[in-house]
Amino acid sequence: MILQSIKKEFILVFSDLHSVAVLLIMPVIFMLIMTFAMSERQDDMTQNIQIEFKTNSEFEQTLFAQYLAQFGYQIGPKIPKASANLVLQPNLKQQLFSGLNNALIQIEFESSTSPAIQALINQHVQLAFARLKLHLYMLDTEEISESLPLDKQMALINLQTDTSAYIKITSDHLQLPVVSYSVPSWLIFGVYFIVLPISLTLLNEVQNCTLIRLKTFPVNLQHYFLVKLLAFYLFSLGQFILLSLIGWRLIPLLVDLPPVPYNQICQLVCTALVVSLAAVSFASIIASLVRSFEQAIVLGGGVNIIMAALSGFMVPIDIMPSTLQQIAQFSPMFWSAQLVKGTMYGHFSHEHWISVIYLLVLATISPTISALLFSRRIRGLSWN
Amino acid sequence: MSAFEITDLEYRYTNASSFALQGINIHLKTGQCLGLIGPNGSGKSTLLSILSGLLTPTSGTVHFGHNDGLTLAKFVQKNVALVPQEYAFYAQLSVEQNLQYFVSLCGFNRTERQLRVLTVSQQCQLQAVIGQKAKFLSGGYKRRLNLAIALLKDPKILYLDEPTVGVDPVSRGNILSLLSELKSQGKTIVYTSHLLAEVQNIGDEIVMLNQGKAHYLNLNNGPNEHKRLSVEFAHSLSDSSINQLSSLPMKVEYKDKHIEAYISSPEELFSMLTLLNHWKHDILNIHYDQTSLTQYYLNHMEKNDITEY
Repeated sequence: MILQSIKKEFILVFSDLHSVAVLLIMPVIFMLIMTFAMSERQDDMTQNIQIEFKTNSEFEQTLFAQYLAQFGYQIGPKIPKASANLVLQPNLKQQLFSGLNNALIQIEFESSTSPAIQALINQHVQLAFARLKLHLYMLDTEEISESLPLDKQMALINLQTDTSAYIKITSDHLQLPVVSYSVPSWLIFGVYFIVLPISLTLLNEVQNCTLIRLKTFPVNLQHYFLVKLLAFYLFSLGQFILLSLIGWRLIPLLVDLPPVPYNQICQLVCTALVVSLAAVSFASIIASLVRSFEQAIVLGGGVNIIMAALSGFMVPIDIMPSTLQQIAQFSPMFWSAQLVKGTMYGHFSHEHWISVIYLLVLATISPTISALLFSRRIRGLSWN
Repeated sequence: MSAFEITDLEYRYTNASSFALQGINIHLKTGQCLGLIGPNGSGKSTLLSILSGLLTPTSGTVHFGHNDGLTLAKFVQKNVALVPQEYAFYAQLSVEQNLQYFVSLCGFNRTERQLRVLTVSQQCQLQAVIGQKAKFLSGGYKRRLNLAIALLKDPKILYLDEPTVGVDPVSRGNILSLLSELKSQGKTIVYTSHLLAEVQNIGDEIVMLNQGKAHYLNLNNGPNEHKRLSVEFAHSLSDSSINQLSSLPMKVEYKDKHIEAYISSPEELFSMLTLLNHWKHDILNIHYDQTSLTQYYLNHMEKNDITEY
């Protein structure tokens, strides 16, 4: 019976194109898009940003524009689709050293410029302005000779302001390619969508009276429900492994990135066992609750999308308000993503073990609740 | 031998103001077919749900013969099979995969499983489509598969809900002859349908449910025992011929070139045919049949003149 049930569920899932699309194609597309989107380096990004900057003939303004251009921006006087407009006060040098804290530079962002790009431009304007101030000061104190060509003067200033040698980044994460950030989230997102095929197959069985028929077969329906979950658990494991291979081996090739240097297969398999168990268990509750296909799609899909948003899949959790960060701590998707990232980074911290415990608790409680809900549901079945 | 006996059965749904079933008493013998008819909402589904152990009666009892001390639910799981009106199988699976899956739930060993699948697929004439996906089957084959799944566990009692809906006449004939064969093998059948001719054809006992009450229709006894002989003549009958009609041993009505004779025995039929032969009148049309259940059903629903069972 168990083998026949597993075979049946696999055939049902694979013959439903919607389920295959949701479980396999959708996460792969998300992984691909997000990896591609995150793969662009910052200087590549700034090359696409245009800044309108109306310089007058003052040396200081020209010099500032050249410092800003070092970050890669396209700067010019008349740019039709500029992300920002910069206006500098005249007599900049006198005002800069007057001791007054007047605003000397005005930045006007276009409404379509995203907050992240605004922050980037703002950061670069401050750096360029700091270099300009140092440059003017050193000219004034004759530490730089005016007779030097301008590019050599600027190279000297860049050398003076280069602090990279003083900063050492020790995070292991730095060693990991971009797929280590984009793949785990969307892999987990796909794995939790197992809720749809579980709900839909169960609803089909209720609506076409198969469940009533099964009730008159010599089979315990609780046992039947658990076997169904077992079948979907095996499916989910296969899905996890397939998405992992696609995410960490195929996608880097497609977006011209190095593959993840990852060899801890045992840890990945253990993570898959825990995450898939939690995902199927969580899905079983929703599957036992929904009463129509619409409910399955709205509740199953909606809950997953909300959990994904809260878990930092769409907006990085680090930049979320603290309240949302707190809420994320209660999301099974967050625990799962933490666990997968921990596996990817090659070390388990205390937080990762807590995620394992949370997921195992969820995997213990959820089937109990869903079995009770399912039991209530089959008690209410009668001939249509 | 009793297949089941329902005594003083009543059922009321939670929060309902009236009974869905009231005062139901039905006794069915093993190997008989109970035809269950009635308008929508009359309580047929509720009665089937109770007989299937899906609902518990508010009062009254359902007793299955030879239940070996089993509870109703256990008895149903062992001996009863349902054929719902819906296609209660997996459309994406092939016929064989469906049969293999459902037989795996019956508790047979491997050899028995293979044997049951083979037997049932032959019985329901499914061999020609055994490898096809169920969703691509014709309506007739889908109905046969629906029935075949019920037969897998070799039940003693079979409940069928509209098993021939949407089926062409040939397939319907096949299904009905299969049911007759099952009946001859000693299977007890409860058959519900709105196709009353079918119910009349296959049913040994016919119970009409109306507003939760059971009415026993016996088409072979009492005032409705007659078969009707209708004759249409080309010309009006003469007075002497009309007088001869009154000498016949059965009730005969004459009106406007038509006679209707209510025949209750072969002798009466013979006397009527002898008279017609003697007259040598031109006959345009002649029709002889049993009182139709449809006519009976309509008359009694209209008049509410139904003998309480």
